[in-house]
Amino acid sequence: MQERRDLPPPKVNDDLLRFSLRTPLWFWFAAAGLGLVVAIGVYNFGLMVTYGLQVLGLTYPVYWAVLITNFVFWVGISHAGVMISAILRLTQAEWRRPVTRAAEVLTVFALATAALFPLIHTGRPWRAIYWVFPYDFARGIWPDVRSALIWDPSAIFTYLTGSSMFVYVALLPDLAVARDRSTGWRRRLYGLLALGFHGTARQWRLQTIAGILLSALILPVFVSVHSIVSFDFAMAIVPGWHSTVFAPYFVIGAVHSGVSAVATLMAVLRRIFRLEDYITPDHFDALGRLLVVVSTTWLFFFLMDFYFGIYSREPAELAMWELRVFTWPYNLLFAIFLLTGYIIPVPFWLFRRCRRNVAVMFWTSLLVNVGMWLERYILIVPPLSYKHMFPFTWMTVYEPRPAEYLLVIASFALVSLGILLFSKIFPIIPLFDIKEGQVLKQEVQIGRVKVPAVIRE
Amino acid sequence: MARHHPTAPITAEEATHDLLRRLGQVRAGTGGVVLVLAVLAVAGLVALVALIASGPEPRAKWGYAAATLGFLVSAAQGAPIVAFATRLAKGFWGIPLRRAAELFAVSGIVTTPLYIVLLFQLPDWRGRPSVWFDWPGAPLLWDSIAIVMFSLAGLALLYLSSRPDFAAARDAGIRGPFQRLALGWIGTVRQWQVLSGGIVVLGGLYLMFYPYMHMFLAVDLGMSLVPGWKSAVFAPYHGVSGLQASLASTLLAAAALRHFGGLQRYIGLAPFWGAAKILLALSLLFFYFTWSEFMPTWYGRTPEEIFVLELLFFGPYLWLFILSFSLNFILPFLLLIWNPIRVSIKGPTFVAALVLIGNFIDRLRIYVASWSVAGPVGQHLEHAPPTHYPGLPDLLILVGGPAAVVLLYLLALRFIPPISLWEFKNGLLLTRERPYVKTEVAVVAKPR
Repeated sequence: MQERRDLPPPKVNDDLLRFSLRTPLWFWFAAAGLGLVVAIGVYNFGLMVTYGLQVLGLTYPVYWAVLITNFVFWVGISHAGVMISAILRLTQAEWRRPVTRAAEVLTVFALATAALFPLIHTGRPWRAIYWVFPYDFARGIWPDVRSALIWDPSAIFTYLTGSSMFVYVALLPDLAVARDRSTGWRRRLYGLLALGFHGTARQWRLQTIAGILLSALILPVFVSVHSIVSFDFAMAIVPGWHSTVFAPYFVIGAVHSGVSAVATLMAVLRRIFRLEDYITPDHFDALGRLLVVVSTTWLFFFLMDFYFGIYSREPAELAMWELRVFTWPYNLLFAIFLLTGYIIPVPFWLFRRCRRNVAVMFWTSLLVNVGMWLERYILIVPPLSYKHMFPFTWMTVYEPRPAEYLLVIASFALVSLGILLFSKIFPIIPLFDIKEGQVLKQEVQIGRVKVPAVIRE
Repeated sequence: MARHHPTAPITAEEATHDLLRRLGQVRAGTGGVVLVLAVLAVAGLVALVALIASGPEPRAKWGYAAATLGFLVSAAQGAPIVAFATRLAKGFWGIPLRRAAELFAVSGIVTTPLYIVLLFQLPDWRGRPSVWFDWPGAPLLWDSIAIVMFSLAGLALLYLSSRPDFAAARDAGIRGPFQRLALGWIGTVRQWQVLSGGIVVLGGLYLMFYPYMHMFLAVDLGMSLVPGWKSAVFAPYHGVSGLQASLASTLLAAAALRHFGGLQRYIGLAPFWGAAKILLALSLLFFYFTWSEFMPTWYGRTPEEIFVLELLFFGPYLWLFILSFSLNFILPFLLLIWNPIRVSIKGPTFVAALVLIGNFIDRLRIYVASWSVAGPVGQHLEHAPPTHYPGLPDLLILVGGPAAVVLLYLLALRFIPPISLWEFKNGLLLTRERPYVKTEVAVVAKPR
């Protein structure tokens, strides 16, 4: 890291707890606006429940479309937290410090939102109680334990629980600081949540060990979640889906979109909370470098999927890829996906000047997620709608209806609202991590230059 | 004592003097080892020539030669990536390993001709699934170009990073071709800029080329020979397991240099500790890619998939699969999760040896099985043929290939210092030991 700003602990406390302890006017407008969009989504869902799935554009055999795309997309975004937090913590990357909590919180809200979409997709969500108590009392049927309906919720809820614990354990010292600096109901709330944390040596040791253990334990969960989601597709013998590369391809795609989402989020937080002293161009530089590696790896896996889709020259696979790449409207979506997912943003990230430019990083990372949403759409819909062997399923053209668009928009509003409310109550940048970074900050004099340095054990 | 430092404090001048004086010297006992390696390499070459002379049929006889190639490309030619990756990530712990890793680029001298020979043994290509899609000259021309370029890039990277050390040897008056090898290096600012830029560009190219090289090798000499086998994750699996084996080779080379070359002051605990973490991660990735390949194939259960499972996992090569899976994943995982094993020199070295054996067995499983069913386009097999056991020529090739690489490695050490001298001195410049509370810590400067 090149920029080492001196941040004394009182300033860190003041800056990072400011929004939690005082409420600016814009917060109410932002929360109300996002809440309204979420309410429209809920109303829309109500209409869907009342009138049935006919309000969606689903047409035989395309029964998985925008809602499942959105599910996969948000599960992907949820990979940001663990990627940033656990891996960077285990590798002792210094630049992680201001980024971790926002990433972890993004994980929790993205995952919770993702979990909603299969429920919405059923059209009769109350029947999903079967997933919680998987026994069909009416017919006395036990569930098929190999079914995706068992493994998807198991993986997602394990990850959600782990991520929530991850956020909470890292939050404990900050809750204690907030408790000590607040009054009234806030003090009681923070005191309750801080679980008696007073910063004794033993408490710090336990907190550190818990953080490291959770980092290590959550990594397999992080990988397995999107792998299991990918198996929803790869296990089926559907041309375009039945591919052995799907698991790593989904995971790396998730990391690509997740880290991009973190870059977008960091740019927004820096602007609205005036965190220029904490989220510096160096952090965007580091995120940009990471994104070059991640996106190029993702492109490699995409190419593998493409190559080996057409490698065997099976007519069904070729027809499916022809539909994806050359047939309207998928050809347009395919072009946009490749342009926004890789071709436009990556050249920017190759230049240090662009990586250190917050506006450039904001827009390019935003573009990536446009591309990655489309990627999931193209992965899911064309394989179901290509020309199948039976004439009655020929030329099925799926077109999303307004209800589906509204649900997608509402999902973005829901995640944004969740993060906004979280950052209203809790510090979105970990105070203790920033202070630890300040303590460990070192410089080495080499010739006439002072070079920033890090402590290694 | 901070663990990121060499085992004993050493100054830049001492390191220069000590490392350069070793150039051109032959240590006691080395001559015998070189002789044995040379005999094995020549025996392997003779066996290969005999195999070529006997014609391409039956194809199954080429399985062991292909496995040797697969092993060497995996375990040796991937090693320069280890050096480049630690440079890119500014991993100071990797400095003592970098030269040991880059020296494996000499393996290109063995793999390139072997690859080209094997390309000529492939059955008729027309109509066969290929990543080249009937390009004119495919796969012979394009695979040959790929392996030549890949090997040249590795050698260029080795030369580029050794150039300042050649100049140091020249200036120290060491006998040898150092004047010519240094190519006028005097260490101007521009020369250093060209060196660092060149390493980034060449290393980047090598890194980008690496997965595709594995794809060409794994598909053209493996997957395409098996009727109905199409696995998109196989090439990445081959690349990742190759990287795991490359890191293992680097660790073993470093341990050997440390032990037999008297480099204890340069190769301390830190590189083994740092590499052990990556080896653990790569072992987990080995499992993940195996699992990713296995699950959709198992659940797909088309006739072709059942055949592939029988051939590669449950049939005549079941024990090779069990062994390679144990040596590449189960044992490394069970050993490396323990701190005392990771934070040691013997622990990671032992695991590296296991991984290398595991990779060798894995390549046998893949290539011997694939060549055992190599036949005309469109053939359909109900069951996998029985295990194809090696004959004497196969054994000679299996031993001769790696022996030739080790021989070239030892010969290269006569001209190239085993530690990247300029990077080692750079590391000394950027590392300080400072008191911290009641202990001492290593402080590592991270310039841009």
